[in-house]
Amino acid sequence: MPVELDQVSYTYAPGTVFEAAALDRVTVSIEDGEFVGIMGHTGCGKSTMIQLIAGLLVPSSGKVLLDGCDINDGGYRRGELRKRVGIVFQYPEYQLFESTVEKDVAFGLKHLALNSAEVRSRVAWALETVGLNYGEICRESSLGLSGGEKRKVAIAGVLAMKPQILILDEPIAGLDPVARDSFMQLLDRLHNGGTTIIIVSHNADILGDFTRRILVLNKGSLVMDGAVKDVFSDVAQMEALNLDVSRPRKIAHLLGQRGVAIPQDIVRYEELLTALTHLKKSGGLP
Amino acid sequence: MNRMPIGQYIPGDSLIHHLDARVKLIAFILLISTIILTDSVPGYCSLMVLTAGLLFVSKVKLKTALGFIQSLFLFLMVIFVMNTLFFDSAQPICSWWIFHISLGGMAQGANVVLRVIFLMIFSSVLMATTAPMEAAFALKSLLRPLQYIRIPTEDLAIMISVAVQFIPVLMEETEMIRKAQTARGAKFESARLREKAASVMPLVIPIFLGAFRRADELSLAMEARGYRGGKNRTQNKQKPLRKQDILALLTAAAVCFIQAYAF
Amino acid sequence: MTNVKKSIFTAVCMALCVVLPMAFHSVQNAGSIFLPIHIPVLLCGLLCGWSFGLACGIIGPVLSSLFTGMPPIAYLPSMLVELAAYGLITGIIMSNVHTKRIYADLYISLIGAMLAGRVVAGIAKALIFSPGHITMAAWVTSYFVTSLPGIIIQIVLIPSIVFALERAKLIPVRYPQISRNQ
Repeated sequence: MPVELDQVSYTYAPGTVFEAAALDRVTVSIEDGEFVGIMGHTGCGKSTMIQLIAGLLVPSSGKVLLDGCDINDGGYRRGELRKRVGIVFQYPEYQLFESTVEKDVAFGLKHLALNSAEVRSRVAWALETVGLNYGEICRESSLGLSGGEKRKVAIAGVLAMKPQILILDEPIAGLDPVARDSFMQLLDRLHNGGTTIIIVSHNADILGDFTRRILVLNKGSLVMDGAVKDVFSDVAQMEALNLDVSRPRKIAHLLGQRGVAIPQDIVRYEELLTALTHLKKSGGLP
Repeated sequence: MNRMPIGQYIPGDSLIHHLDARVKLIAFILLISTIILTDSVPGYCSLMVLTAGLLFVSKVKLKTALGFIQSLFLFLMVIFVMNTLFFDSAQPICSWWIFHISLGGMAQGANVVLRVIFLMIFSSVLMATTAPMEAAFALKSLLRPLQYIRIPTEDLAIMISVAVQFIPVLMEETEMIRKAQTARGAKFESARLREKAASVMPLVIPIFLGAFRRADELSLAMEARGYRGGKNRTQNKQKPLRKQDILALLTAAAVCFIQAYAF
Repeated sequence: MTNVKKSIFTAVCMALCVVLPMAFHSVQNAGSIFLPIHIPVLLCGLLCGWSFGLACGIIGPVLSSLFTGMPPIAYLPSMLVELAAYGLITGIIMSNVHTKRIYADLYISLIGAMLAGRVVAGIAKALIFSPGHITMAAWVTSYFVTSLPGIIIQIVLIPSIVFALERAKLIPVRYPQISRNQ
């Protein structure tokens, strides 16, 4: 089920003194089962773009297509869209409101015409997937949990819908490195299970480790789009956009500048290590 | 989008735009009293002239100033009809049960409706020429004299300041919550009364949780820094009134005086 | 709760008097049914006491009128009187009624305040718009009938908010021993 943006523009507060183009004629297509990262400076249009894909904003012009159908067409069923596209906002824990964890996770399922056994098994699956023990936690009050657990519950609430496309806005902001890694492993498992994943993040290392493709937005325009190693290969442009490349890439870049013959398509630590070991063996290191 | 709502404010460059917001608020109150004191035909004519002058000086378009008519039309009709029907008059034109239609009642109804219309025109001019932020701070400083009747105006002033600062933050958070719940399939509408309340829970409860969480954090920070209440707080220096502000104030007072005595 | 905390809670309730009606504005004609501006005022009275509730009931609608143009100034006086009465009365009842059941305390305070507030507002309206000429009974009756749905919704909604705040440990639990057994 590919997602396509066709010449999509979005203008905030049109017709007022605050009028501002948040997205300007962006055309992009994301295939089934991709793991895509979106990067860009604050105010570049990242949030606008993912909200357009999720159908939470309606484009000022252009089309958002899901499986070839315009989601903003009058005949398109919103319920279907909600089922297929899940979105995890920044600080998702702030959307919890029910008296128990079970009810909070099951909130979205109410609209899906499932029987109670199916609902329970979905809730259990979602909670186990994010690493919580269903039996222990389901009767707890979701508002009394710790911050980390609350976030997991909120994400479970989105996963329970079993979306085919999962969009995440800065999901790892404020997590410690261990929690961050285990969260990304979870996304990786979902991705391996066939879910399309679109993640917005500032963290170039994480994007380098897990995503296959990166989109870079700047002032509402799509300025780069390609495989991670291709996007990160242009260190100069990324710096001009005030964005990081992954640290291994940066190291390789600096070494290259010093005249070390190291490949310039390195993105991850393992690749850097292999390359350095190789260089050492061949005597390429000074 | 971290933005302050601006209500009916239209940024501009007129004389009225540049007046001190405190002056505008006091003048507004004076003008309202003028309206309440008016109840004769010549009185309303002179108010009309006054309004025309005000619109001219403030460069507010008549269309803007009368923009409320559409939303208040029903309200105005109800006031008129209520007054016409329930006015106890010695010579009703016709009577039925508790309803008495009389000329006196109609006059009373017209009187009330006209007052509301003038009130709304003046408030439109005030709101169109004053940024809400400035108005809120003017309100804060106009509360100050209340401290002499033992109302803790300093505390009130702090609450108003904090409230104003929270408005854009809470707006943004509210928008996020609405979108997040919509994405999970929430529909904030329902035909049945009890379910209506339940349908907005996913929106209202997180809004309050978020707001109180922020309030909790802020109050802890304030207490940690030794804040105990408004009493010993250094006051923000107030801008003194300028010549044109005082002149405007005197004009408003004079208008009020003349209107009250002449008509 | 300390006075500082109550002040800041009151401040956010004032801000919510501006924000909540705007949020409901995007939900189709919900404003007139839900009376969203009532919620923060009632809650402020319940949680912070009568003085803070009163302050919220007066300042909240004024700020809302300034920042959003709603309510229009023509409605402001009567709405202000009504909301001030809500904040004041919920605060007074809540701090004086202790039935050992939080539900009962909340319902008594809310219903008491909403009835009294509407009577006060009805009288204020009658006085402002037609001094002494309107059959009070007719006015007050019409006032209650039209606002009944709003009353019912508030009675369902506000206790839920109070419980959510208790569970999130943002406000002290009213009856700690009892609620633990629930």
